[in-house]
Amino acid sequence: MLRASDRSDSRRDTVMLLGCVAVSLLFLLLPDSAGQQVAGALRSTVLAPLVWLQTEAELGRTSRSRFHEVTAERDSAALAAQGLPVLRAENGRLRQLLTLSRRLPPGFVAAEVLHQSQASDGRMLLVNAGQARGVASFQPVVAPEGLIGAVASVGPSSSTVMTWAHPDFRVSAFTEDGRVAGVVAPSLATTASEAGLEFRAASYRDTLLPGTLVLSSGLGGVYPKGIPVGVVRGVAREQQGWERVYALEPAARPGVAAHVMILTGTDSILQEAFPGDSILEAAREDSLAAVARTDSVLRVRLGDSVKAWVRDSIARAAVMRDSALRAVP
Amino acid sequence: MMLPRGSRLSLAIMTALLILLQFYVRPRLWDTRFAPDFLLILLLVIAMVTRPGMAAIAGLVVGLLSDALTPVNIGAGMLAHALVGYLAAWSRVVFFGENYLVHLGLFLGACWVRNVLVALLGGLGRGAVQYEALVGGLLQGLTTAIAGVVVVFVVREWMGVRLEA
Repeated sequence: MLRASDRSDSRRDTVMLLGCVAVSLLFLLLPDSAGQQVAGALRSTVLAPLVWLQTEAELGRTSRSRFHEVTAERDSAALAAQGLPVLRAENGRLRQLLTLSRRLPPGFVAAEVLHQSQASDGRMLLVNAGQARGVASFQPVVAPEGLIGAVASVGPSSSTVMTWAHPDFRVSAFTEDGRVAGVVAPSLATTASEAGLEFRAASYRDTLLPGTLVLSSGLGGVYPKGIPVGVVRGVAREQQGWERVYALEPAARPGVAAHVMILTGTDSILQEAFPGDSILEAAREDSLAAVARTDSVLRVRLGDSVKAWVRDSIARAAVMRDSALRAVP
Repeated sequence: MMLPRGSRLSLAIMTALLILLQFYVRPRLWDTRFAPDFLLILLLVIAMVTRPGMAAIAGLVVGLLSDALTPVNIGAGMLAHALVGYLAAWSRVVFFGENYLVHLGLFLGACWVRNVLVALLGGLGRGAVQYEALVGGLLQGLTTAIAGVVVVFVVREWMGVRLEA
C-alpha cells in the first residue's frame, strides 16, 4: 500500500508532467514565426557558447579530414582558372553584342553546417554564419554539388537554413536544354535526410529522359539561374493526362553536407544580368541596326558607283574629244 | 527527490562533460546521424536519480535546446524529451534488477521512442516515421546505448546509480 507521502509525490510528478506537456503543446501550436523568434533568441544568448563550441569542432574535423580533398579541388580550380581570362573576355564581347550588361560574379559567404542529433536535422540546418558576415533571410544556400536551400532565419553569428527536404520548399526550374520548365518540390514519401525531389508542372506532351539535368530558372527572385537542383530519375506519377511529375535525384544532400556557401546579393545580379526581355530587345535592335547599316552601305556603294561612272564617262568623253581634235587636220 | 550536495556537484560536472561531448566530440565522430546523443544520455542519467516529475522538466529543457538548434517544429522535441524523461524515471520503479543489460535496453528504447515521437509530432511524414522506426532510430539508439552504458559505468559512484553485476 502506498504511503501518504508517496501518493503526494506521485500526484506532484503527474502535475509536473502535465505542465510539461502543456508547455510543449503551447510551443507546437505557436505560429512558425513566433517559434523561430524564440529559437533565434535562444541561439543568440544561452546557446551561443554551444554553437561556438560545435563550430570549432566542425572546423577541426574539416581541417583534418578534408585537407587532401580541398587541395585537389584547389588544384583543379587553379587549372580551370588558367583559361578563364580568355573565356571572360569572349563572354564580355558576346554580351556586348547582345547589349546585355556585364554578368557580375555573385558574392558568397562560406559556412560550416552544424548537424544536430534530432530527426528533423535534414530539413532545417544550423550554419555558423550570421548577420555579422552579411547573411540575410532568403539568401540561397548551395553546396559544391548543387542547391541546398535558402536562409530561413538569421542570428548574429548563426543562421538556420530551410533545405529542399522541408515541405515548404519550392524552386522554379528548367531542364538543361531549356525545353521544359516547372517547379521542383520535395517528395514527402521519404525520410528527412534521404528525401527525394519532384519536378512538377511539366506538361504531358514533354518527355524527359532519365539523366536530364534540372537547373534553377532564376524566376521568383530567391534562387539565381543555373544552380543544379537534381537529375531526372524517371516518371513519379501522371495526373489525369495533363501533367507529368518526374522524380529527381537531388544534386546535393543536406543531411551529409559539411560545408555550404550562402550566396549574397543575388537580387541585384539577377536584375542587372538578366533584365526582362533583354535578349529579344537586343536582337530587335541588332536587326534594325543591321538593316540600317546595310542600307547605308548600299547607299554609299551606289553613290560611289554613280560617281565613278560619271567620272569615267567624263574621262571617256574627254579622251574622245581629244582624239577627235587630234584627228582634225 | 532532492539530490545531496555532493551528488548535485557531480551532476553539474557530468552535465558539463556530456555537453562538451555533444557539441565538441560528437561532430568529429563518423556519420553524425547515427552518432550517440549525449544530451539524451544526460537526460536518462538524470531520470535515474530523480523523480519522474523532475525528469520530465529536465526533458523539457533538453527538448527546448534541441528544438532551438533544429527549428522545424518547435515543441515536438520538448514533448518527446519530456515524455521520455518521465517514462525513464518511472521505469526505474518497474525494473528493480538494474544491470548493464537493462540500462542498454533503456537507452536504446528511449532513443528509439524519442526519434519516432519527434518524427511523428514534427510532421515529418510517414516515410520519416518509418525510417526512424526501422533504421535511424535503431542505429542511433544502439550507439547511444553503448555510450550511455559507458557513462553510467563511469558516474555510477558519483550519482548513486544502482547497478547489479
